[in-house]
Amino acid sequence: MKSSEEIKFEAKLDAGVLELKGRLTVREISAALELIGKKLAGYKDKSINIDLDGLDYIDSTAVVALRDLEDKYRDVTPVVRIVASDEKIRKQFEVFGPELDKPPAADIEKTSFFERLGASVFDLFNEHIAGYLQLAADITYWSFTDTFRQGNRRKGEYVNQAVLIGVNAVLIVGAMSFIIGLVLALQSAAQLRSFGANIYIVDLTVIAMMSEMGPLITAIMVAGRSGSSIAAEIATMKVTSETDALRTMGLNPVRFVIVPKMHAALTTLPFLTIIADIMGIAGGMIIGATALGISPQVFIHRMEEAVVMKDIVFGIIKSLVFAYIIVTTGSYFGFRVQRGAEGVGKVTTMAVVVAISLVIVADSVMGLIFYN
Amino acid sequence: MAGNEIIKVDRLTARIDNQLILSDVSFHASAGDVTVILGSSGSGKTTLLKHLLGLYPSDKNAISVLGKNPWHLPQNEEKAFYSRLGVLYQNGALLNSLTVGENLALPLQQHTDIKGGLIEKAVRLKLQMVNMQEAYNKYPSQLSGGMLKRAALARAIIMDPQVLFCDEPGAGLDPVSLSALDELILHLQKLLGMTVVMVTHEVPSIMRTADKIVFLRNGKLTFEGTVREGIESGNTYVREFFDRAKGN
Ligand SMILES: Nc1ncnc2c1ncn2[C@@H]1O[C@H](COP(=O)(O)OP(=O)(O)O)[C@@H](O)[C@H]1O
Ligand SMILES: [Mg+2]
Repeated sequence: MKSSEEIKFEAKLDAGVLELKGRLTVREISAALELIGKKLAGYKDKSINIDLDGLDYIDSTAVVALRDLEDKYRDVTPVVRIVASDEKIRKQFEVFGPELDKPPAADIEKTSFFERLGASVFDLFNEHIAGYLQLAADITYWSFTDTFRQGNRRKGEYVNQAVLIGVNAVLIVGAMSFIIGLVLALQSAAQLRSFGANIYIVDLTVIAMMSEMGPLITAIMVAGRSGSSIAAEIATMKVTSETDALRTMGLNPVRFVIVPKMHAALTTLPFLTIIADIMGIAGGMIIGATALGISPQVFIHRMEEAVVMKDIVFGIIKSLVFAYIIVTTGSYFGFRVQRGAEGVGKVTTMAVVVAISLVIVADSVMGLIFYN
Repeated sequence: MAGNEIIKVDRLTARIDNQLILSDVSFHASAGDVTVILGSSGSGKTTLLKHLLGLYPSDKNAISVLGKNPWHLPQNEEKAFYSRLGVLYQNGALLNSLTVGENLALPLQQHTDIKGGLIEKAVRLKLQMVNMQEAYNKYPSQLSGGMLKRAALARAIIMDPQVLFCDEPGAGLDPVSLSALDELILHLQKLLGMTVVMVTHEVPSIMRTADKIVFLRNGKLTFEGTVREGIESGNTYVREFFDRAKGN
């Protein structure tokens, strides 16, 4: 005996989803089951989701009844799946059995590709870019301020970081640049010889190294070494509450931890880049002497003509931008660490990948700007 | 002790990632008292503490610690404010890159203009108070759990704070070390005249130290009062909490 005004419950069928609305308790359940049964009987598709998100309240009996319904329709058509994303309702269900499925995310047919693209760009902006810009602004502000304010510095930390980021990278950056210079020249040697343009090996090596390869190799090596360690250090500090501890001692983690790294990176990367330039050119010089018959004296003489101040300055400017990108990206991902054991490793990897990608993008953008 | 409300929380509601973690929590802590925040794990104790410390955003009127809401402090008041608080974090949270001595010296260097020799004396005195003189030159990673807690406690009291916050000081300690740590905290509290806000679910610890308990359950406050009032009250959660502990 049900009278419809007692039933504060509704079921609406739409596109493969049966939405339940209102209250579903021991009082409504038998009427509700009858209603649901009718809807399912008229349903032609293979499967149907019963979505509980519209429910205001569900009690334990209703949970049991819905579980039972799901079981009954497991091997018949339509197959019934009960889904909910609402945390309260999910909790109710978990008390009485396994976790519920979440309703399928956005309905793919309904949104166009461009809508989805727009949404994901929006998400990207919301999730990453806004946060990154905020942190970058903070780091920039304090890096400037603390350059001129002696008192607030953490003693010895700048030197410490300069050694870690700069000095300790000299060997690897030098070696890699030397090899790249060598290979670059070797690859070009055959072509140049066939044109009889041997002497241009000098221009080629010098310009390529100074304006492009030197800064890029340096940045990629430093991003791999220091970008990752910056992210790991900050992430670890966050996970172990060290950043909280700094804050509650009245210390700003950005100033205390990141600013010395920024200062160190900004001052050492130009030098590393110059070392990379020199080593790469040395590699070219060796190929010039061995494969193209250009003696080092001739090479250096020609170099004096080939080198343009602009290329050197451009390379240095690039290295400063790269230093900024590496430190801010490492810091950003460090601060984004989630709780749990895999968190630190994950953000460390992300930091390196994103830093190197941004370095390459910035490199091409700057290339376009400077040489136009 | 009415009127001495050093900490006031008024209808604090907190969300992290859109998930409701604290809902409508109100209580106060009086000067000189040990107020214990308790509740099972995941009930929101640490989150509440972090709000009190200004590590998470809160409505301006929802929190008052020493008369201020730390989240809304102007930047030029931060140092002065935080120098009046000491915090003992759950895992110590000493800076791993510094020695214990350097860790303790840090707040002194930041908040005062006292110089090297005196800083070292002050640091050594605090280490002595927690019986850890030998740790001065050690790194946190070289200390055992109990030693780490004591060193972190020494850092927390380095500025003789008015309020000491402790997040589960007992976690990971054996009962003997735990009771020693409790004694130490109480001793220091008397010595330095501190107000203590302690998160814990160690019943012996609560019995030993609490002037007042604040009981959280699923992010809601279910009881505020003395331990005795709690046990005698009709609040089933509080009763159950203490009964179960007695059974063990
Ligand atoms: N940073 C965070 N991100 C997501 N959830 C969190 C975060 N911090 C706490 N929570 C959640 O908030 C609830 C309370 O956590 P917490 O305050 O640490 O509890 P307690 O300290 O009482 O054990 C838990 O459900 C926890 O999962
Ligand atoms: Mg906790």
